[in-house]
Amino acid sequence: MTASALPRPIDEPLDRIRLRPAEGWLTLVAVVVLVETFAWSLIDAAWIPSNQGSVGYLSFLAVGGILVELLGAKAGWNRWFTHLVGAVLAGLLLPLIAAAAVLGALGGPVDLTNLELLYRTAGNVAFQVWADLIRDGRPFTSQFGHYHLIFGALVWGAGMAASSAVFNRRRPFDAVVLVGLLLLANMSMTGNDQLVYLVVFSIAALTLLVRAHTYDEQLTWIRRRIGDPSAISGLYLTGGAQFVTAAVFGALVLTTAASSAPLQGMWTDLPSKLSGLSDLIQRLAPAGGHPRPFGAVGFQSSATTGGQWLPASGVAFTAKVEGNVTTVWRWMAGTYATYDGSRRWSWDNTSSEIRPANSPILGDSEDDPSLLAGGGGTKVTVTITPGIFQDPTVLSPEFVASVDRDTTLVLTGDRFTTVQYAGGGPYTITALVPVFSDTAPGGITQAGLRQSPKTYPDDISSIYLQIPQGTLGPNSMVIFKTAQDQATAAANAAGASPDNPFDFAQALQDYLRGSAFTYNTDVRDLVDARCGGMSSVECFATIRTGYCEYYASLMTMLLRQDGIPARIAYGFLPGKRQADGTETVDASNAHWWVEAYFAGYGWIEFDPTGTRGFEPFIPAGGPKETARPIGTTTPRQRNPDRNPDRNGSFLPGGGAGSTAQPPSTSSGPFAVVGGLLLLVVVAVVVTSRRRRPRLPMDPDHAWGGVGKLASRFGLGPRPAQTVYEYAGALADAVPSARIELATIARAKVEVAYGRQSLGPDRLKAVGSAYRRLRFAIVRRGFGRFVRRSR
Amino acid sequence: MFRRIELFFLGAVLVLAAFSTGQPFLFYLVYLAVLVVGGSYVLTRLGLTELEAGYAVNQLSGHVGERIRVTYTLRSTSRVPKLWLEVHNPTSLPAGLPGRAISLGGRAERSWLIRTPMTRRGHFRVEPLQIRTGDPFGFFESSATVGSGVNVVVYPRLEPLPQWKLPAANLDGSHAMRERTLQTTPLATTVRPWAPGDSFNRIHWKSTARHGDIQVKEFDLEQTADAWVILDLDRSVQVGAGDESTVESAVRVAAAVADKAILENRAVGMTVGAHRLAQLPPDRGGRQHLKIMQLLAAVDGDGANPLSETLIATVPRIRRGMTAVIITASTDRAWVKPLSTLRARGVACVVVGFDHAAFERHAADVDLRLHGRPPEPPDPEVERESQQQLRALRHALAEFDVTLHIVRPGRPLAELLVG
Repeated sequence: MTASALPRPIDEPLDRIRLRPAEGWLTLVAVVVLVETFAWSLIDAAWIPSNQGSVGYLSFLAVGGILVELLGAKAGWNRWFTHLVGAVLAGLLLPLIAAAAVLGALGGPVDLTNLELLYRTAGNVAFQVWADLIRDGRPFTSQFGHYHLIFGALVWGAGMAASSAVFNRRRPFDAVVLVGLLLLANMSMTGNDQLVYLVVFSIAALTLLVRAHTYDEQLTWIRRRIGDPSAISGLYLTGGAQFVTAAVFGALVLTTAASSAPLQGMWTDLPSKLSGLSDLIQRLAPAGGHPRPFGAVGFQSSATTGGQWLPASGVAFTAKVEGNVTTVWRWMAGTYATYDGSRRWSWDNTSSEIRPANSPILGDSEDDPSLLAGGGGTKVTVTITPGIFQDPTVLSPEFVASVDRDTTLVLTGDRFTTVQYAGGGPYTITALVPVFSDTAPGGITQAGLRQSPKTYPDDISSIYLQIPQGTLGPNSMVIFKTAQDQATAAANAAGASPDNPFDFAQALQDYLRGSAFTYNTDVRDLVDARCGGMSSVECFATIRTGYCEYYASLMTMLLRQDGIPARIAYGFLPGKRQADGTETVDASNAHWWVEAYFAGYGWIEFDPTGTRGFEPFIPAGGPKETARPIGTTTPRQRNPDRNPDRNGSFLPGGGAGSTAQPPSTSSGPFAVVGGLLLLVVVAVVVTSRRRRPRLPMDPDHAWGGVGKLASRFGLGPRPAQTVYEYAGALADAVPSARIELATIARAKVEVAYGRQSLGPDRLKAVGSAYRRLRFAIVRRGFGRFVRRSR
Repeated sequence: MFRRIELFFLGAVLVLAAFSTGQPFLFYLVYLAVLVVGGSYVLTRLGLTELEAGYAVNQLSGHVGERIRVTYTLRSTSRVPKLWLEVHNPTSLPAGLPGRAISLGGRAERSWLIRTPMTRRGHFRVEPLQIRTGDPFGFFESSATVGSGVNVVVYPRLEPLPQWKLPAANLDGSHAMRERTLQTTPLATTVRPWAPGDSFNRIHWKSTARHGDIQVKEFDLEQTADAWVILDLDRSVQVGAGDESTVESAVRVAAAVADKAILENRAVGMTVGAHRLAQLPPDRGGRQHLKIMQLLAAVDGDGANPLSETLIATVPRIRRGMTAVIITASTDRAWVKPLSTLRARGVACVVVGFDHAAFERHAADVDLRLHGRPPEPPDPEVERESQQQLRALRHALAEFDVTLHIVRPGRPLAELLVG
């Protein structure tokens, strides 16, 4: 028997397996809370609606990611091997969770033992997403399972990263910053108040830092043989707890007492610069939650209706109307044609054409007013001077005829969507304002519109009559029926066809403007409580409370349901026009309304928003009004030079953005801030991965660097000075760094003259001394400079 | 992963976003960051202001086994409490001086006493008091040094030798001698009638007057003879580790023998064959005791010369009538011959040797106890050889009537050094 095989004496206890992490249970708890706050924040944001599967599993995934890295650290695995194990586990687990969520949401049976079915479901989801977004190039996908995968991976990864930073690399600050950025990014994008999560996060983060520092101090006490390390933890944690409590309490009090936005004006032109990023985020984001409105004044290629609209303050633009024109009108910026069946309006299948200055803007499109009877209306000339509305979108009354700047016309199919101009600054437009008059020749009247048949060009029918599945529900149909009944009564009274489009549109507008609906800019609570999984249209029909986006969306969809082509128009309500024709329009006048297509008349505006909207006046007209010619039913030949672009990202000078809320500035550019934070996270991760491991500081290099830096402040070495002489002289000039100088000088002498190779501890000490010394020299140099200048 | 510049950039983005949007959650973060970072900085900066500190060591020397006591006092004259202060004396003392982390209220004072055992002989340094403070997160740190350092000398452990008697050399004055005596000890024990050859300076005139014939003083050399301790620390002959090594045991024996001799009012000289040959001329009293202890505190088993060379270098300095105590772990008989010349010159000799095999076994036992490493089974051949060498040495010394005392580990010297 060898000595090592000697039997263990009976009275000697077996080594116990230590479950407790070396860093302490408190550290583990703090890390868990840290990542859990991020998971809770995602759950609370409800990016994935409840009818698309519960996301409660995110809490467990956070713990899972943490435990994998903790296990790896305790087992002594290589860091990359631990990451690999975690990634493989996530790769096996997340598809199952996503599939279970999808199957559960679809009401199907969820058999967790049938792994094949679950993996096949997850695979189908992934394939369908790829097919929708990549292969077919659709702007969105009807799938939602991939969001479960993405959010699951995000939380799992956050858990792994935080746990690795704390238990493997002993860098708790990295964990705090990384998870904090993710949390902030999510908070920036959701409209929900999540301050409580941030408070919990901050308490956990500070506790983690205190505990980690205590652990470091304990190690220092052991290494420097100061004393019993267990004696200090109580003192540290007590002091730390007091500090954390005071800091959090103080921050809360100060937050309540003093928060303002003095730099708000800085963001007025941000949409045009960063809107592409915001648009990308919105495009890829799931349908749920309450996205924080993109507060800066500007319009983008899509808009998601959240539960809140924050009105802005400030002058959006000033219009100088030439001539003695008393008619007021809405200032239209553009139109949306496509609804995603959930909450999002967007341009779709757009193309663009460059228009030289002063050329007819709509001359080559199907919305060319010259095609209409009466030539489209009265010609007016207006000079627009942008205020805080720095968006490159041209504002105009109904039909923009020409602009004195080079522009880009955006078309959906062959219909007007928006016009962009380059260069910024004031511009002058010529527009055609429809004439609503029963006396003027070619004037538009109710009687005339009643005669308009429900016969539309093909391009109109194919685009502006689309109703995605799930848009309309029972409550919408109740309103539809009511409006139909009222329309029939009105038609009968007017002796018109009960099926005529005008009476339905008018009845619907009147009904929506009536007392059955309430105007409110914040309906988040109602949406949360009563609109689980509904489209914004059906949701509004249910809660009957909302703002212009809800009103316009519902009316547009119900018009389409009745077979009347309709679209969303966005822009500004009329401002205050003075006697000299100068009209000042506030940013808070941003608005959505509806345009319905009438054969022979083109697009006619309706405004269903009750207390806020601007009801158009359409005279009754004579009984002998006859139907106008409806024009062609097939699109004209397209200009071959048009530049097709599905999502409007072609726009010169930007213009595509994340959302197209009615412009407001008060809530700030949260989506962009969130996106920036995410970018920072990604950039930091990438650079840290690309950065080669920091080599220990070479004493020769450190000494040379010190001399070079000191020389810049007139403290360089003299040629005859030895290392120690110079260190002493420099220490007299920078007394606070005497110890660091001694450390580096000694190392330099040992390495350069003693031909010794220093151990890692010494090199580390040299490195940290070098960094402190540089700071001290710079501080000393600038301090002297400041004193001199005084 | 995050460097200072990245964090600074993040902070700037945060401040910009907060002041651009006025959102509470961003302001909360800004305020929290300001309070945490600013508070940490202020706490650290104020941590060492208006603070008085000091320490006092009760003794700067002592023997192994005694305790040194250090009293610390911290007094804050500031109203601002100090959340965390680390107070510590870096020291080379083997047991260290345990530091403390304390918090100090406004205008408060804390004082405490630390007793630390002196576990190993040697010269040790207690550095100036270092006080360190910082914030609970480790963002900032500040430290200060208070007072000056002190040196602490730890002497070897003194073991009593109640039954130890130095062997007697020839008594000066007890025989009529033709040559002039060179040695006159201060302790005259009796008088006797003058005999031819006695030196005139030995005549005790008072007794001569009383007796009517010439009386000379007789000296008790046994009680008054000087001792010369020769300590062999040749590294090649040392075995064992730690406190029960032959080196430490030899130093302990030397200290105990010298202490006993000085207590008997003998003049004691010493030769230590360590890294360099150190010799102390014989002297009596407390000062010599201190010198011997300081020398023994500093020596180590790093000698390069064999005992025979040490003896050759020392023999000329040993006078007739002295007693030489040779303490060595060497079982080499080569040094017996130089030693025998001392005997011939009227110098009594005694040798203290060490049982190598016992020391090696003891070291193996300690290894097992401390590190759980099972001891290698003793090689019977080696043990037998060791015992044979010891017996041969004893025999060789016996030829010259030199006593050999064997020291074994784990047993008190009082039992081993008898007679």
